[in-house]
Amino acid sequence: MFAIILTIVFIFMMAYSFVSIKSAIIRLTFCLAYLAAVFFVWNPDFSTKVANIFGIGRGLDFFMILLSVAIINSLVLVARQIHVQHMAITKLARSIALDRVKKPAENDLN
Amino acid sequence: MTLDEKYQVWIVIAAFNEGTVIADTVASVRAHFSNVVVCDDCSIDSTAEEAHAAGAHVLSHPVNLGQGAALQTAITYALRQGAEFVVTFDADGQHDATEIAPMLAALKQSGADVALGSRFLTNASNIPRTRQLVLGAALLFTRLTSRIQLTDVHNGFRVLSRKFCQEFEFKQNRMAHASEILEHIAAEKVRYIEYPVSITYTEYSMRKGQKSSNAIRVLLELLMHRLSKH
Repeated sequence: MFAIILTIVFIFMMAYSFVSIKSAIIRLTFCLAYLAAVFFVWNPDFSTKVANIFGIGRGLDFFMILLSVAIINSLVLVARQIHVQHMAITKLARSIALDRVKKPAENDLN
Repeated sequence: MTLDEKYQVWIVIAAFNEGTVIADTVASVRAHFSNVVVCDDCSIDSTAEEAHAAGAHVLSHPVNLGQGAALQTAITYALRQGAEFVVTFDADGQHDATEIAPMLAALKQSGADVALGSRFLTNASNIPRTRQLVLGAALLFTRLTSRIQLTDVHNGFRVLSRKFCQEFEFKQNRMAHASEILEHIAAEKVRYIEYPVSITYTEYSMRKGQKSSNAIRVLLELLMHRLSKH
């Protein structure tokens, strides 16, 4: 169940990164990273083989998955904060635009 | 239409880098209605000047915010001027200004608060095949998520009553605003009608208009908006 949830989250973040990031290289890097994350979620033994190459045991897998969840959670919170700030900027810009309206010349009203 | 009736109707147009067509669009609308307000979304060309010269009230955003934000700024202005009805109209010449009056009449007769234009209730649109497919997908998404039955879910030609504009505000700054208004109509059970309108696709409007891939971005913006509410 946890693996399914994590997979859905990783795929959503991959799609969001794909449409939000302008640089093609960075976009591709993020997509590959999320695809790799999905792969390791479903093939944890493979991650052990990789870890063993560097002399690290399996216990690290659980820690890494938790770290991934923490990072994703932080990103979502940051995205929400950016959204809140964007709304504030919108209000300010709207106020400025309404204060500086240019009305048509009087003879154009007929 | 009498002058008094005209002064109760405001046509709002959001524009971004439409300097080559905005004057014609404003002129075509002003042939029927006097009150036109254009919100220039920080264009880098002469959109604001051209719109003003054509006789529109012009609001200018100091930063680019998106079509949804520009429409809301223009609607806010129209309400302050006493508008009883607000018509949202595209800047790029895709809409036909001669259809505003009959759409407004249909809305008044129905007693509803919103009239939504639909290009699929008439055959008078030269819609490209790829755009048809994307709109079909958007239609399905909207029916599943908003539980609103429409034939056209992404049409910028609308007539809104003052009451509706006072109760609803576009919060989605960019293209997701088109879905946002439909979600509100469904959630608040707003009375609406669909009205046949024609959309003219020109080489200019196709080049300037949304890419089909933006549909994915719109879906994700709506999802992120829902996440940010909770």
